[in-house]
Amino acid sequence: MRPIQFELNGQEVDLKLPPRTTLLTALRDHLGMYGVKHGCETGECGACTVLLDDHPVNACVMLAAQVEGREVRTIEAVGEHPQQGWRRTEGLDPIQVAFVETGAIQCGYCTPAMILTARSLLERESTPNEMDVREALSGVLCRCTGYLKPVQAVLRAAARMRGEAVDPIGEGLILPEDFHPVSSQNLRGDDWAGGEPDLVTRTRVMPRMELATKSETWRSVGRPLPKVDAVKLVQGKPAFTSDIEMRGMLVAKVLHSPVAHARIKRIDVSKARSIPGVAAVLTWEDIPRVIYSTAGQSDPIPGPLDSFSLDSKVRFVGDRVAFVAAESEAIAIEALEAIEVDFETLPSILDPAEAMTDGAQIIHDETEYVHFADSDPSRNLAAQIHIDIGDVENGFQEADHIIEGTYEVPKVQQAHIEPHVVVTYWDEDDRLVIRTSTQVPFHVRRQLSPVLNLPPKRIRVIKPRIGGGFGGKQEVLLEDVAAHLTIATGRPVRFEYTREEEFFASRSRHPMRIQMKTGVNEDGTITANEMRVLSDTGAYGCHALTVTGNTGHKAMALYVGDGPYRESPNIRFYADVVYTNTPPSGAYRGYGVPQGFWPVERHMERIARQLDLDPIEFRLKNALRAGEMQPFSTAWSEGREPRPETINTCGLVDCARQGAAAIGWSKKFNNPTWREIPGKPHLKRGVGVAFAMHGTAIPYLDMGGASIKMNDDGSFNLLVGATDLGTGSDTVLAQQAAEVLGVPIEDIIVYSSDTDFTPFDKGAYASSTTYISGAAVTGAAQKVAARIQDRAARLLSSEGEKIDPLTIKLADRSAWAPDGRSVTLTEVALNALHHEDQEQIMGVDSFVSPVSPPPFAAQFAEVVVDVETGQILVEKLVMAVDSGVIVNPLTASGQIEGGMTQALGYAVCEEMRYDQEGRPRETDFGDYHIFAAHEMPVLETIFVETVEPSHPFGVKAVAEIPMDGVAPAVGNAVLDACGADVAVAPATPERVWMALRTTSSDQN
Amino acid sequence: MSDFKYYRPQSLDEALPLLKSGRPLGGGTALTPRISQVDEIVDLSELNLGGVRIEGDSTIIGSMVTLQDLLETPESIPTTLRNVCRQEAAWNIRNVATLGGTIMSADGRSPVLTVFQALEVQVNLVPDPETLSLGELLKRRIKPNWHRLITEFVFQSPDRLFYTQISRTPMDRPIVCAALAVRSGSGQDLSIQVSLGGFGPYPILLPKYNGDLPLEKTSVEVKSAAQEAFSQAEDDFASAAYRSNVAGVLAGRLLGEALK
Repeated sequence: MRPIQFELNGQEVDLKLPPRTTLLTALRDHLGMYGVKHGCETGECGACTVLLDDHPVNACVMLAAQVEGREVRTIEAVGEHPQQGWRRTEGLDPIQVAFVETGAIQCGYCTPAMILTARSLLERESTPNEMDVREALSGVLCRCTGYLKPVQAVLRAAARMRGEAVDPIGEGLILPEDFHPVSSQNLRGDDWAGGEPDLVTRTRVMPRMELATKSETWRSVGRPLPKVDAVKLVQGKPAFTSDIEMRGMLVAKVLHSPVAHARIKRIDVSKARSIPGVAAVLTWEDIPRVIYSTAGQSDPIPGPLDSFSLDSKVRFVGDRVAFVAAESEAIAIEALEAIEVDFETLPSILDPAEAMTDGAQIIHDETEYVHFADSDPSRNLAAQIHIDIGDVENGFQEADHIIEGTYEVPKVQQAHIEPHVVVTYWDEDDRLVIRTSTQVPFHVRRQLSPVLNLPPKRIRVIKPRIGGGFGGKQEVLLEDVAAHLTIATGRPVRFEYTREEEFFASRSRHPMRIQMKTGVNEDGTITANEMRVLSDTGAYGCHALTVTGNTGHKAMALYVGDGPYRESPNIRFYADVVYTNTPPSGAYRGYGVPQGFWPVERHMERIARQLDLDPIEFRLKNALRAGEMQPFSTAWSEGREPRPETINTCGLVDCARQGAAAIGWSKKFNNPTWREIPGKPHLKRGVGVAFAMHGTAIPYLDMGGASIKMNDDGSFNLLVGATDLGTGSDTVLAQQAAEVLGVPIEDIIVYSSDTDFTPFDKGAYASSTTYISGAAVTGAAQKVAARIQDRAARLLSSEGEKIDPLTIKLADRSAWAPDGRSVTLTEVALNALHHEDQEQIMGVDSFVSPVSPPPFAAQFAEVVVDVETGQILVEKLVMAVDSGVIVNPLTASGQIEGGMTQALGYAVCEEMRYDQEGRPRETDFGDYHIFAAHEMPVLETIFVETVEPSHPFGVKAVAEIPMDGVAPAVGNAVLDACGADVAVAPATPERVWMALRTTSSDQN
Repeated sequence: MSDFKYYRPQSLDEALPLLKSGRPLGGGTALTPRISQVDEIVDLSELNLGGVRIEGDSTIIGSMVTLQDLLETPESIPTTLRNVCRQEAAWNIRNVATLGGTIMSADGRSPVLTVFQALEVQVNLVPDPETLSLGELLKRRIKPNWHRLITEFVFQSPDRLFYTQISRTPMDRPIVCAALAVRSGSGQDLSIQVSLGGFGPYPILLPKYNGDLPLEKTSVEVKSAAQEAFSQAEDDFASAAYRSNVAGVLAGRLLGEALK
C-alpha cells in the first residue's frame, strides 16, 4: 500500500492504495466520486475527466500516486441543486445552467467531463470562439449529441459569465408563414426565408421548424423544455448502474476465447479457484445448459434460440469460456490467467460468402438449437427471407432500362460511452435483483428466467440511468454472467465490460452485401425493384431475421414507382442471414435500415444520372405518398402475421424542398463552377442527397404502459416501463402528461424503470417510445384528468351552479369551470386524499398501435474531395425530417444531430475488420475512430411537421431515421464532386481513390 | 500479480539507479493502460526535465514538456510543430502526455514523430551522456533492458516546416502523412528533409535533398523516393499501392509549398 495525499475538491485527502491504482479507481471506488465515469482504459473517450491543477486530464490513464501533493477537482465540486430546503445555495454553475437549458445533455454520461473541460477553458479564456470551445471539448467523446448543443451551451455560458445577454431558448423558431409556399414545381428554389444558419455565435439552439396546424392551447407539448433529468446529470449524480456501493460486492470477469472456432477439450480451473480472493469460477460444466436468445425482444423471440450462458464450444474470438468472481479486479484477472484450457480448433468461417457453400463447417451443431421460421443451422443459415410483392419479373420486362449494382456495408459498433454494466444481488426476500444498463428491463427478466432457473416473479430488474445504448443494450448481454456468479456465491457481483471487450465481445451492426436490380422507364418511372442481401449475423443469430427484414421493409418500401406501379408496385426482397465465426451482430440504431438505404440511395443516384434525371424529382416521382399502402405491410412483419397499413402522413416533398434550400442545392448540384476551388485543382466540391423512411414501433406488438398517481400538492408520479437511454423520452413523456393534466413539467415526477413497480413496456427500440409509451401516458393522464374533473366539478358545484365535469378544463395547476371559477389541483388533491370520499386519484393505461407510421426525411451532404488522394472532408449535413408533431424541439433536434454524427462515421470512417484468424483490428477508440467535437461538419436540422392521426398528439418517430441517409448522401456528394462511385461503405480515402481510378479508366 | 513499486525521485542522481530496473513514467498516458505488465516504475515528474529554450540556432525541448506545453509555447518553435501536437492528441491527453513519453511509445502514425524525423532531432540521453539521432533512438527503443533516459530533444530551427496528412476524418490517425523541413545551407543552397508516416513502427526518413538540383528534378526525385519508401507499406488500414501513390502526392505537395 502506498500513502497518497492530495487535495480533492478543496479538501485534503489521505489514502493508502495499492500503487497500481489508477486515479479513476481511487476517485470512484475509494472516494465515491461517481461523477467521474469509466468509458475506456486508454484515455481516448475522456469520460473520466477531472481537473488536475485546473487542467483537464483523464483519470483512467494516470496513477493515483501521480497526483500526490496536487489539486484534483471533480464535478462534485461544481454547483448544486438550487433548492436545498432551508439552506441557501448558489445553485448550479452557469455552465451547468447552459447545458440544462440548451438540451446539451442526452445520456449525460459524458456531461460532467464536458462541463469540467468547459470550466477549465472559461477560467482561462472568457471570450472563447467556437473553435476554442470545440478544441476544449475535443478530449471528451460524446456519442449522443453531435456536439452542437454542448458547444452552444459553453458559448452561452461564456456570454452570461461576461454579463452579456443571450438569445432566449426558443428564439429562431421558424413559423409557417416564414416558409416559402411549397409546390413540387418549386423544389429547386433556394429562396429560403430563414437565411443562412446561425454559425457565428452558435447561441441559437432551436432547429428550424415548419409547424403543423395544431392546438394553440398547448403549453407543454411542442415546447423546448429542459429535460426532467438534466439537473442531476449536470451534477454527475450517482445515477448510473455502476454508481453503487454494496458491502461484499465481488468483481466479475470473463475468460474470452482466443480462437474463432473450437471445442473445449479440457478446462482446468483448479488453480484459479485456489487463488486467495477468488470467490467463484464457473465453466460450462457448472451451470445448467439452457438454450436461449440474447436478443431482447417480445415473446416469442422472432429468431433462433442458439446461445448458452457457457458452452463447450466457442464460436468467435471473444466468445465466453469461463466466469470469475473475485474480491478485486486484479485478483479476477489473475484468476483468468490461471485457467487452463485445451481447445480442439475447428475450421472457421470468416467470409459470409463461404457460410452456405457445400461442405462448409457447421457453426451451430448443438442438438438443443430451436428454429425460427426458415433458420437452418445445417447450412449456417440463421434466417432467410423471400418476399415478392406484385409481379417483379413482369415489371422488369416492362422496363425501358434494367440497372444493376452491387454494394456493401460494414460491421460497426454502437460505441455508447458507458460500457455494458450490471450489478446483481439477492435482496432480503431472496429475490434476485439485476441492476443493469439495459434498454429492455422486462425482456431481461423474462428471458433470463429459464437460464437462471428462477421464475420471473423472483427476479427484479432495475434500470437506472443509461449511458447510451443505441441498440447495443437491447441485448441481454452481461446480466446472466453476474447473475450466475451471485447465485454461485450468494454475494453481490458487479460486471462491467472494458472498452476492448465492447469491441470484440458485444454486438454490432450486421454487415451486408447487397445486389440491386431496378427496372426503370425512360421517364423515370420505376417498374420493378429488387434487392438481394447476404447478411452476416456472426456467431449467433440475435436479431438475425428482424434486422435484415427491416432492411427491405423500410428501404425497399420507399420507392414504389409511379402511375399504375404506384397502385401495384413490383418489389422483391430476398435475404440470407448466415452464421460466421465473427462476433455476433445485433441491434444498432436504425436496425437494418441504414444497411438498406446505402444501396438503395446510391442506386437511385446511379439511375438518375444514367437516365439524366434530376435526382430529387426522380426520387419524388417514385416515392411513397400519404394515402398509399406501405407495400411491405401485407408481406412481412418481423416474423409475425402481416396486416395492411396505410400511410397517413408524408412530408417528404416539403422535406426535399426545405433541405434543398438549406444546402443551396440549385446553385451547387452538378455545377462545374462551384465544384472548383480556386488555387486548389486537386480539390473538388460536391453535394448529394438521399431520402429516407423509417418506422414507428412494431404494429400490433409493441406495447407500453404507464401509471400516474396524484400527490397532495397537485404533483404527479409518472411511472413508465419505457427506458430513456439518453433520448429524452422521460422528458417527452412527462410533457405529454403535463399537457393533459394542465401542469408544468416540473410537477411530473418521472420514474423509469423497475419491473417490480413500473408498468410493462417492451423497452426502448424500434423508435417507439414517444409514440407508443407516449400514447399510454396520455391515456393514463386522461384517466387521472377525468377523476380530477369529477372532483373539481363537485367542489365548484358546492359553491353555486352545478357544473358538468366534462366542461372542466385543466390548466395552470387548476381546474377551470366555463364561468371562470377554479380550484387548484392542490385543493383537489387534498380533498381526494384527506377531506371527503377519499380516494387515490390515479390512472393506468397501455397502448399498442395497429400502424407503424413512417417518418420521412431528405438528407443532404456537402463534401470536398481530394481527387489525388481520395480524402473526403464532409463540410455540411442538412436533414429535413417529417417526424410528425415535435413534442420537444430541443430533444428532437438533439436526436437528429447525434444521429447524423453517428451516421457520418458510418459514411467515412467506422468499420470493424478481422484478420485471417478472426481477431479484431479495432479494439479501442484509437483505431475505431468516432467523430470528436473539433472535426465536425456544420449540422442543420429542419423539422417539417405533419399530424399523425393515430397518436393523440400527432407524433411519429425521430430517433432512428437520422442514421439512414447520411452515408448515401455523402456517397452521392462524392460522385457529384469527382465522379467517384463508391459502392462499399465507409468511403475511406483508399476506396474513393480506387473509385476515381476506376472512373478514370472507364472514361479512357 | 507481482508486487509493484512506484518511485518518484527528486533528482537525476536519485532516478538513474532506479531506472536500471524501473520503467520511466512521463505522463503515463501510454504506460498506465499497460500497468499490469509493469513491476516497477520511476515517475520523472520531479526531475525538472521540462522547459523549452533557444540557444543560437538550436531549439532544446525538455523530455518532460507536455504536448500542451509545446502547443502553447510562443513563437520560439515552429508553428507546424505546435499544430501537430494538436493533431497528435486531444486536449485532455495533451495536458499530461510528455514529449519523451510520446516519442518512446508512438508508432509510425504519430504526427509529432513524423515532424520530429523531418527536423532531424537529436536526443540527449543519460546516464553516460550521449546524443543520438532520433532515427537511432527509434531503432534502439525497442531493445529490452535499454535503461536510458531522454533528457532533451534538440533540433536546428528550420527555415520552414510543413506537415500534411491523409486520414479518414480530420483528426483521425493518418493513413499517410508527410513532413518537410527546409533549411538554408551556405550560400543559396537549400536542404530539404522529408519524412513519411502513417505506417509501421516509426516514420521513415527520406534521403536529404539539396536545393542545388534543378527544381523539376528535385520534385521528381522526392516523389519517387516517397513512393519507393512506401512501396511495401501495407497493413490493415491501407494497401501498399495506395500508400505509395499518396506518399508521392504528399511529398510533391509539400515540396511545392516549400519551393514557392
